Amino acid sequence: MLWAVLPAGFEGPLILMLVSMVAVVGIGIYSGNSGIVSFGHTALMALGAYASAMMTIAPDDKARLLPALPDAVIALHLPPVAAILGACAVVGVVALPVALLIGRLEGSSASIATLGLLLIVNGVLVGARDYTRGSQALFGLPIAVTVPVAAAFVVLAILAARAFRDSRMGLALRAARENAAAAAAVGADVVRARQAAFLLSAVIAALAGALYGHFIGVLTPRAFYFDLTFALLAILIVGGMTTIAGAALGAVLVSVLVEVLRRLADGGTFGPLTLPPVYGLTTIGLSLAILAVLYRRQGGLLPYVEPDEVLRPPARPAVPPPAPARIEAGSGELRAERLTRRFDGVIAVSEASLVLRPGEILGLIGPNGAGKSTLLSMIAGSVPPTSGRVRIDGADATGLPPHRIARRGVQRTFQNIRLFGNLSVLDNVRVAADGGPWSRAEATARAWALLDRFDLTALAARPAGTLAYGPQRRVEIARAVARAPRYLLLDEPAAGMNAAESDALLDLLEGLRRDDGIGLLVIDHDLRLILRLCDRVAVLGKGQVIAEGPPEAVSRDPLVIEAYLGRRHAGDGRGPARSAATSGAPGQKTTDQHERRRDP
Amino acid sequence: MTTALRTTTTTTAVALALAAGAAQAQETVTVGFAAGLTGYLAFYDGMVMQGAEMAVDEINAAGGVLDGRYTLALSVKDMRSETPAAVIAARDLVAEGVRALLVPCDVDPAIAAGQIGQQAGIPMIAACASTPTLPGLVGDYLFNLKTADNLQAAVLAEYARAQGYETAYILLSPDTPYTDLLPRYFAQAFESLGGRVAAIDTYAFDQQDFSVEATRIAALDPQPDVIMTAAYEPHFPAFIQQLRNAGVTAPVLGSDGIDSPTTLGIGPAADGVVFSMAGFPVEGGTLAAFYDAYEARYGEDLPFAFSATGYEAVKLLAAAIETAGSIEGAAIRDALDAVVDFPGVTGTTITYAGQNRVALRDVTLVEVRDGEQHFVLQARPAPETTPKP
Amino acid sequence: MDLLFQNLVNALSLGGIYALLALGLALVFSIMGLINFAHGELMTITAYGLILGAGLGLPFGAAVILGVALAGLAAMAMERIAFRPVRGASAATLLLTSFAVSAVLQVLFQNLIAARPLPVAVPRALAGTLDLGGLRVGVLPLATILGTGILLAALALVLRRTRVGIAMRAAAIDFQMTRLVGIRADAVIAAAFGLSGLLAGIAAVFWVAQRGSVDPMMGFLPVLKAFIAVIVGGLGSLSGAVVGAFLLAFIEVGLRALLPPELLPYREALALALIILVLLVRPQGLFGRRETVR
Repeated sequence: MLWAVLPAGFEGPLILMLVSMVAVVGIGIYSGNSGIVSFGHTALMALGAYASAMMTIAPDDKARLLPALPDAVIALHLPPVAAILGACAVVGVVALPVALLIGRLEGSSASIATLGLLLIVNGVLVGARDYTRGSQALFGLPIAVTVPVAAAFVVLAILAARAFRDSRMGLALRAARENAAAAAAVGADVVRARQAAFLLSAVIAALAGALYGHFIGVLTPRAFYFDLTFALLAILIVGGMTTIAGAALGAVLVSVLVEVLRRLADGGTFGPLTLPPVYGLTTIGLSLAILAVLYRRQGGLLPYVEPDEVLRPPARPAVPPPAPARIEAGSGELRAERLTRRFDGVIAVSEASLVLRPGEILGLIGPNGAGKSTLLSMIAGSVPPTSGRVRIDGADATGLPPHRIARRGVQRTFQNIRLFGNLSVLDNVRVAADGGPWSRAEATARAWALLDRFDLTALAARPAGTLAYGPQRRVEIARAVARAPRYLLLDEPAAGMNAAESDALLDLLEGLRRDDGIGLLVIDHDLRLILRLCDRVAVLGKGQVIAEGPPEAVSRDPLVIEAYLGRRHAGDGRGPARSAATSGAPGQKTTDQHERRRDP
Repeated sequence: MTTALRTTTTTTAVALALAAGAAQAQETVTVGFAAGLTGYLAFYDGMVMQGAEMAVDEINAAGGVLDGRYTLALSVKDMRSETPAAVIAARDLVAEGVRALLVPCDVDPAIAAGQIGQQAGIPMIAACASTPTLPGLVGDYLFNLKTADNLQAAVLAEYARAQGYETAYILLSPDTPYTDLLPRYFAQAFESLGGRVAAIDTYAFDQQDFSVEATRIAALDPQPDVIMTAAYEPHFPAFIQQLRNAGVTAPVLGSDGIDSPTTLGIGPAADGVVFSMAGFPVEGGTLAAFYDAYEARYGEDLPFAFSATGYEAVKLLAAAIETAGSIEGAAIRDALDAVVDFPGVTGTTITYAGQNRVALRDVTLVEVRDGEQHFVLQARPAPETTPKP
Repeated sequence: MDLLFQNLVNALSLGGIYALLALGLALVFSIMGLINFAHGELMTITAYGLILGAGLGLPFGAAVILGVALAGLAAMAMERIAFRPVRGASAATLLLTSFAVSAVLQVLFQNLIAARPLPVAVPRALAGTLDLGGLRVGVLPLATILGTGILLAALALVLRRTRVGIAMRAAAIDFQMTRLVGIRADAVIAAAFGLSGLLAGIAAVFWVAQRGSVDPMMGFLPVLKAFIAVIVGGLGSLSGAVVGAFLLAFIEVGLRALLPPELLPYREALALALIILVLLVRPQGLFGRRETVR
């Protein structure tokens, strides 16, 4: 008989589903785009709910329940919808410093900080009992959330979330989620994007909290604690944190699951089956759903790509791609002056100086561990030099973070390819193009033009991580070019390519120098490629520049030959070079640690 | 051990079907209960539910209400001890068309569910939430049934003064109205009877270490004559254990929140604790008979007074329906509000008339000795001692 | 003076319990990046083990051994069943997994054992007070301090001297490296979980002896405290966890003992504020490495 559900009985769960949808869509603005699981948004919901309560509870009741409140607050008596929006504004102000702080953190530290936020807000709500009634219920909120009201706010939340996701910041943040170093290298200000995402998601979470308050009518700090956090995360995890559609789908599925389990948990007879009541079946069901998704499909049911992005192939904008003027030779230079870097007492690069001018190709060669990548990373800003200076067109750029260096016209690629694996090829290039001095549509047009130029057009919609090696290299270079850099630093661009791919790459790089006037610094082990491509070659040995000059002169330099082949007749020929190599990265690390050591 | 909890509407429905077969075409009056069957309220709400089931079955076996025109049914929704879920459960029950509502044992969800019932004009009984301010907070459809906090406090204070206690040490927690107000009512009544409150100390709900509080009491010179608290589990067992471990021997007074097996099971630390409750099963009394029936139906579990007030709640509703001659909400409400000296199963009469929907009834005090409750007294406090809610 | 001394005893005894829990959390975290919120359910298992032991007619000592052993086994089972499939995932994934495990266990306790609190009788020997030259000290706090102190010392010895201890410490510092030198990852992780389970079990005995009852949700609060202790001490640092635990206990006991009555209701918020202050000065915790293992 419990199975015979009345439509009227569904209104409550339906509203709750819509409110939780607002909440998870809001959380997704931060968590989905940045990839950082947040435990703290329930605290922001609590703030939203309490703020709205302060504006809507009848003044008489407020004076009775919370006599310590300032008279101005007691006198407040707004209609619910106005109060809900007001609460969003209040939380926006309160969350600003939090956003600035938490936005600076990434990965697990950020997650833990959000957990701290949950604990702190709960502690304050419970402790400040003169203003919140502490652990006791604050009641008297007008119950005003109906299905249409909740649905309207769902639409609003989804529109806001989608606008952010598609914005420059949203795209940059998603790129950083996939690969933080690469996002910085293309000039994305990830910290600011993350701060903005947190702030916006805080406001939407506050909206959800206020809606929740005006649905339930009673607030306690306990209602916004671990249980709710867990339930909302279950929704996000099951549906897929990285898409808005996933969050929404998760809200529907989990709500249906909870409803079914709630009815099952009461026991009773279902056709031929008689079930005993099982208390806590909903909790078990939610937990198992989370575990199943975590074990089987970590991205959730709808990961990374919104359904409409699958259905509609990315379109070319109507505007023509902007064509930056060819960089004039002699218009400046990129200088590395006596750059030195020590790692735990080991000198990786010692007093290395280089000059790169627009329109030229400089090769940087040297044995394994000679410090080539470290030197490149120092110029690109991802490894701060121990001493020495970097000047870009005369201006000092030493110690600037990578995204600031990138904004000054220096772009790089990585030895281990770093693409935004779950973003489309087009978006990979678009992230970088977004930073240029042109409109959003023009940036997209430029990304398309680059795909054409690098023979990637057919792959535009594919997730970059699914490409073969050669195309991945081309995407990385196209991405580095998208922002129209003056200087381009390429770390082993031809590694792992076959001869045909390598030749095609040579033509492309030639074209960048010839047509765009970009200055290229190329690290490679393929001497044939270096000799064919470069105007000048610098040789790094044990961290020092041991030779520099035209390719054919350098290749005959005895110092170079020794550095490459070791002292002849000295037994273990590559001894010195090898020891320098291993000192930089002791032992085998995981890929990630390996990269981290090598490449900063 | 939860088997006792596992009887729900299905059994009621079966009994109902049997009863219906005998009589003519009857309509069903459903009493809803938004109950915490899981979570921290499970112990209390579970027993209220069982008591209510017994009353429903008994009334139906006797032919229902209003000359057999209606049979009763109980519809229980688990609110998982969560306030929001209580709102949903109450809404579901209202949508189901219940004619009366039992609200959960804790004040917050009781208020939450109460707001729904109040809006729908459905008479409600709080069978075990004892905060006397509750009916005032929710509205004119909600009635308190359990021994109200101020009544308990007054009887405890009268007892304390009768024992010759001059000074009292009070431990309260501002985290719930029950743990906050009841000790304050006690302090008020104790002082009005000439006693002196030595100190008021507080604890927090997310605190299970009471060593500091115990140390503070142990260091008092002179020692207080009596220590009073409305803490319940898990705080009360922890407090009493650590109090005794700190060497404090002063008598301890508690309230009906510790009417639970834990108090009886923790061993010597609880010996000598005197606490208030709704009734005691004296030999040959109605409560003893009820407990026998309860044990026969639900098995091994020790019955506690919550089951009795659950039972009383349904009986009261049935009586109010008879008086009103109607199953309309407003009529039942008015009938409840006029109840005078209704004979409760707990061995006391219950009066609502002139009490602002807070039941006036006797309070029983019991003492814990060797893991058992021993009757101390049953009394109705003097009106001048009873603090105003 | 007397009061001060007794509150010192209180803080040390509370800190000892927190330290055992925090150490278990930190041990598992440093080896597999998991903050195990299901750690508290291991305490609950021990408490139910005590009741089971009493029900079987075992003497209290034997019941303690039974309860603690159950927690150790449960911890290893938890790792094998729930955490191995997600080994190597991000810290947030692992944390969520542990939340789910914790929730499942709580519901199982509710349905299979009891939804309501069950009393745990503590032997008379642990109640009462001792007179130490005019200073009165409770037997139980004293036993807690001695017990946790001896255990922490023994643990330090195990971690420094025994092969499995050294392997665990090495794994805590650099897990991949440890694998390379030929120590079986499964064995180290299982040992770490087992050890953390034993620690949680022993902490539970002291905790329950003070508390007098056990309920399905019992484990959440102490583990939350231990988690805060681990964060304050510095994620990934074992000694940091112990220091953080005692610091937290001293802050809690100190505030409760010293605050004037009108400020007492704010003690939890104040304790958190003090903790935040510590973290503002040292964001990576007292003993934290700037970059954690993962």
